[in-house]
Amino acid sequence: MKTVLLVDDSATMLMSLRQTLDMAGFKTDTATDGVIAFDKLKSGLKPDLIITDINMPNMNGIEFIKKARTILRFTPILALTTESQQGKRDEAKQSGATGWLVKPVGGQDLIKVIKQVVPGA
Amino acid sequence: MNPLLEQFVIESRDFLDSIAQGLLTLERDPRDSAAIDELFRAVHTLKGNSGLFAEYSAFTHLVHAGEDLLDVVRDGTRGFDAEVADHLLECMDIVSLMLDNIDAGKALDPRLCEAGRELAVTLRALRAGPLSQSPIAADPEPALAPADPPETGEAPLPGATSGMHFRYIAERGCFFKGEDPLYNALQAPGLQRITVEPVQPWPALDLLDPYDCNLAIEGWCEASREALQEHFRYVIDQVEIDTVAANTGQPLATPATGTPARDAATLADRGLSEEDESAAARILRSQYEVLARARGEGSEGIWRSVAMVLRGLANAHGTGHEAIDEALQLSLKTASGDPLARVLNQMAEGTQAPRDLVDPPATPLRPSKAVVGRLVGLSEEEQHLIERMLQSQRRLIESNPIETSLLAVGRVLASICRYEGRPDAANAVLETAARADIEGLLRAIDGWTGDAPPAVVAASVHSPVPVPVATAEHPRAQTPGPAAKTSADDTALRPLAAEGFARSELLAEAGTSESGASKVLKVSQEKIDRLMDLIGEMVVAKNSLPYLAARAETSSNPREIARDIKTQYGVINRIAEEMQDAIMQVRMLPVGSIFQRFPRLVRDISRKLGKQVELYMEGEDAEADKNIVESLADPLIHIVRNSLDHGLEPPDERRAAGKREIGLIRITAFQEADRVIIEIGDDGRGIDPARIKAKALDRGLIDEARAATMTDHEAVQLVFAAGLSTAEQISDLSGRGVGMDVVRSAIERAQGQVQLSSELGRGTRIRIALPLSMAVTNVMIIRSAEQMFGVQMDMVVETVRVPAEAIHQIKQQRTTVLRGRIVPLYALNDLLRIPAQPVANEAGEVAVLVIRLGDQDVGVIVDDFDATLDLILKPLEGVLGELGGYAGTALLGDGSVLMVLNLKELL
Repeated sequence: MKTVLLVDDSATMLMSLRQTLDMAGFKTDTATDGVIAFDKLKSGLKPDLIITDINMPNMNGIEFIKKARTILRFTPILALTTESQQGKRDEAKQSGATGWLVKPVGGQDLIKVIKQVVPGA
Repeated sequence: MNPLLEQFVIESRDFLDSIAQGLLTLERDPRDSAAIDELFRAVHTLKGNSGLFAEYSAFTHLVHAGEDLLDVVRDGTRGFDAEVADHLLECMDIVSLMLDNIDAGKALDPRLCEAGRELAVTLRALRAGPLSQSPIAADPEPALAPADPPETGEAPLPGATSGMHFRYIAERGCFFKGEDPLYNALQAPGLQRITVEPVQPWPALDLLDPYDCNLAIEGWCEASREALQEHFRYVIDQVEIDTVAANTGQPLATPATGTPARDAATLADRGLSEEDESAAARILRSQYEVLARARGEGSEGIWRSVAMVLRGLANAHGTGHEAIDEALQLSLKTASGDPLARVLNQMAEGTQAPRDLVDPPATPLRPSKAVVGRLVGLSEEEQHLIERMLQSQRRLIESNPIETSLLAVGRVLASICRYEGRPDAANAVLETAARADIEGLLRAIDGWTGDAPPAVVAASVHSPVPVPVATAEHPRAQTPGPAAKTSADDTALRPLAAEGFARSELLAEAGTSESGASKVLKVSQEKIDRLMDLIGEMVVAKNSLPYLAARAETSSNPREIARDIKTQYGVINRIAEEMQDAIMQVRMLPVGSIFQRFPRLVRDISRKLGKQVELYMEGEDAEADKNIVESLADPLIHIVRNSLDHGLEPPDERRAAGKREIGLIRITAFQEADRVIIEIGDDGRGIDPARIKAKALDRGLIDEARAATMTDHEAVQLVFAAGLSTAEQISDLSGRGVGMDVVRSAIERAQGQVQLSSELGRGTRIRIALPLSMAVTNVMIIRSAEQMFGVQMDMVVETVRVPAEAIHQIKQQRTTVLRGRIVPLYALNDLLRIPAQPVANEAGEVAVLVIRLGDQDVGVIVDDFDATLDLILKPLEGVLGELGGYAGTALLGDGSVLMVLNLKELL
């Protein structure tokens, strides 16, 4: 079973993503900011995919992506953005994100994207 | 409700709290960048979350507008001022009401949505504040002197010679990818002007799919090709970029299309239906630009297009176009644009104030269609258009009479009403739609197509719709808003107020139904961990019981078994006690959770009253049981309102009294033994004992004799009596003194006490003491007439045994002297009307329970005292509910029921 690490400071957003992923047969792990997420990676979590919000307290998504890349070189990372954050998408890409998703994401679209970036999903 | 939605509501409420706090923080220090970031993030996330629920798009739309406003505040293009704060707070108020709808499992109230839409427009307008630098507003308009159009072909647009032009036809499904083509185009580097047109002609309204993007956006920029390509890199396949010809401002590649002329022609064709009274001025100005660039030979096509635009404009104004046609012919003949320019001038002078041409209005929005409608009068084309809209609405109702489409129809009809300058009718139509009254809507449509449109519509929809009226508890504001609104603000709100469902009313109405108690507790990880540990211990401890039972079966030594069982009981008892404590801790809430609303309350009310107030809060961390903290909320709000309204004086009065102009309200919370104390003090005018006495006499609350002997302190306490109001004018804030007696009873229901002290001219102080927890009550068991009763320990001062000879009879009252004070004595049997005498012990002493009643100690004679226990007190229910004198019942260990006395009531 593939594991997805979801990073978002909004419990609603996490729950929404989790519902979709659970139904599609993914295992999910969650973190509410970059610091917690990075701690999870440091303590040995090896997700098959990371989906992270950009705008978060403590450590924002861009920074988290940069740090995550120091540990996980090839794990796909998707940045969750809103339509008004076009600049952030670039920044995320430069920091090492594989791609981005535009909120609200859900249902088949999300699974379709995941299938594109996670080998064997 | 589905769990995701539930989560959304809970989280959103948290966000609203922190947003309100953030706004108030910012208002104090507008440069607090951490606060701005935090605030922006909360609003941003709130919007993002709401996007998950497509059915609440009105919610998303409103929050989005708020976010956009905050965005320009964050990047410093607009300053944060009271106007921004006011509107954002109002925005959050509406959002909060929407959340109430969602929480109740209902669709969003259409009136709320309408109010939200209006507010969103205002919010977006606020973006272009005094410091705005947005590319369009910054576009240096060529200074056009109507009497003196530029003589030469100089391009007034700066750098137009090196300009770029783009044509962006967004792909039809782009909205589903989260793209915002217009926003994207507006962000293009060096943007000078922009036009938006449909790719295909717009279909009939009932066939229109709003999710199908049908926009062709053209823009003229002053930027390099590379910069534009970079900007549009995500949609580069949908964008054509080319250079702009030197003199004409037209793209080289498509000389005949996309000119300013065409955009103006469309505008004029629509009969100036743009939401802007200066539309005509804008059109004329754009034609100046066009003419200024195309004055010589080879410009025939452009002249024709200008003439076309002018003809459209003339149509809209109901004037003929002979002069225009003549001028065009002359221009074509003389190969000069001058004749056309002259006509342009005449039109500019005749129809619109020339000032508009030179000096474009500072605010890009405001006067609604209704204004334009009145200005221009409805042209034939407009009437035709309206007729077509009405027909399509009728088709929509007939083909698909579901609630949402009825609402949509209602909105369309309402906007037509407003267009015609009849906001009342617009309201009525909206209400009809909200009731899903199909017949009413059809009648309204018939009303238009019939002979006497307005009367019929108004009559058919002014049916007895209950207009929401705030209940007496929260009387509706008499004034529509804070008096100190700026003038720009004022104009923004006026249309709303005229429409009869002013947002302030909506909010006031909602204030009555606001549910203070939240169903969700936030608990720190530590407290939960402690519970987990205890449960673990309990599981282990319980396992010893079957083992002991097995031993008891076989053992020949019951004493030893009994001892082991007792030991084990000790262990389990300890764990149970700790678990009880841990659970209590989970229920503990910082009182700060209710203090949160005070900054906002104080801000709004003090502005409304024109008073300056500083609010100090201390000790927000003091904790108490959730029920207690929540029961405090309403009394506290009332007290603070009283202070603001009656206590603190207006600035000039304060100055006259030699005080600082800024009034002070101080709220302090702290723990004292097993009580949490909350003090609310102000440095206002205080309560006048003489006035209170006079009022109480007047109302018959006290008699002359009592009034004469009353101390000032006692007189001031009369504010707690029901039906006493000292304010000469009933204000809409704290009302007519229904407050303080309600405050007192609410606090006493939570087993607290409230004390008030006031010094005339110096201020008033109210002290509330509440138990930390209501869940478990410490009860002393007493016996009287061979029955057991409970008395709440927190009332008991001491227990004494009084020898019979120490009891004196003064008139009808038995008394005794305790430590030099005379204490009146009452026999419990008498109070409960039990026909039995108190029983003394062998030494002839009677048991006296000394309890505190307000400021006085009172003795209650009982037969004997028994143990004190922690009990869970249950209120009397059902037939027993009527029974006075009892605080409730509790179950004892042996299964019997203990009646717990409410001695206050008995005495």
